[in-house]
Amino acid sequence: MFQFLAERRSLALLVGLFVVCFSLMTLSVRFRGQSTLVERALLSLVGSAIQVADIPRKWSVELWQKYQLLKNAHEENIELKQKLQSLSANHAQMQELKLEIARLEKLLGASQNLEAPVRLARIVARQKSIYGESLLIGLGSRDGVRKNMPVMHQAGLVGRISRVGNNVSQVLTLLDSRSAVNVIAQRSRAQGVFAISSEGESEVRYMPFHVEMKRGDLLISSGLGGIFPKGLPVAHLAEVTDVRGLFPKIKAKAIVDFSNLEEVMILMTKPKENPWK
Amino acid sequence: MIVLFYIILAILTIVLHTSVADYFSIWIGARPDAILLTTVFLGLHRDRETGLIGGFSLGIVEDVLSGGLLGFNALLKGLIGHYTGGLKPSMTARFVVFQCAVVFFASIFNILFSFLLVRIFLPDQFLTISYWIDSIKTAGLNVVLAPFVISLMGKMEEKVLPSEAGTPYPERS
Repeated sequence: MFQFLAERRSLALLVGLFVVCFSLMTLSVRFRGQSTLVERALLSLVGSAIQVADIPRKWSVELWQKYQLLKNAHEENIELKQKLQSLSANHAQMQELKLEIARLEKLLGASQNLEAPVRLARIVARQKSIYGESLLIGLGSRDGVRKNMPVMHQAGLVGRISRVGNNVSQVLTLLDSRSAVNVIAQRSRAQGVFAISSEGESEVRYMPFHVEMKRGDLLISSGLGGIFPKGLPVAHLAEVTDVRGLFPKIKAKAIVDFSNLEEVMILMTKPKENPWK
Repeated sequence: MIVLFYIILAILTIVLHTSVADYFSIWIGARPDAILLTTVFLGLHRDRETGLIGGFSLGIVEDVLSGGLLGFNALLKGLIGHYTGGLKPSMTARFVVFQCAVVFFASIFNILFSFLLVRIFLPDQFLTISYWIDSIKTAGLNVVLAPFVISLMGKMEEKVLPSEAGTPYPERS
């Protein structure tokens, strides 16, 4: 019998398979809904093995999920950085507008004391030359700007219009050596000419000796020459350096800080008729 | 050592069948039958007896885990292992097309014999159309994955047990 089974092992196994499986299925159908001891034991055994074997899969899934989270965080970080940059730019723009409004308000306040109407103009370019610095403003002849119109800042006189284009104009500032303004010392009423020396320093020329001058005295435009109205602040007296010669050498400092200028006012004065014509 | 290798292979197969195969389910609505693939591998690489015992063991575990009819998958997989092992493979057993064909016929056998067993043991059980569609999808997936899974298992066996496992396809050698 055993020899027969050994010889026909494969067939015996097949028959055994059928017998065992059919028996199990029959029992399973008969006791449907109830779990046998064998089932429970097998389930516990296989379940434990699966739980252990499933650890690498869980680990890899967690790793993948973490990677995804990290990837998402990276993308989100890039997006947020871009937003932050955009917001920073907006914030800077807003700050700029705020400062501009403050400056314009000051200019407007200063313009209310002036006799002639004013036009606000933005400085669009600065030009350095051997004579000094000139400014280019964003208003031209089509805006009513004409040559020799005084250019102001709330602090004081800036210069005058030297050239007029269609939509831009050039301003000859007080710091240009070609510029000269007739001034009066507000306290002593002594007259002189504010100009730039050959050394490039601002000075007051032709002021008489006998007048008492003090450091910090305000120099205002005299109104002579017909370009600048009388009373515009021009400079402060700095010091008297040389008293030899016909006139004392007096240093003065322009009131306007030209390095920080961004907007200016143009006094829209009417052209005066030349009486000598 | 060889027994230990097959136990580890069985555990990996069950993990693959119960957990990893679910990802396929998300993608295409059906999952491959890893136990059938391992049974075919055992049959093709070993002999009838290994195929039958391996198929039966894996099948009974599948039954326990599925909570279905105990012995149902054990019989199916045992028969598949037995008949796959008895194919007396020629050199073509190493070829992809042959492996795919064996897996295809094994999957069809699995479907049809399942139907027969259900008719015998659970005559009141109605098999829905979705069951048949899923079964066909599973068969398709088995065919697609067969070359990869079988060759991977073959390489694992050669790496782990180069001498103990003996020569594959014993009936041919």
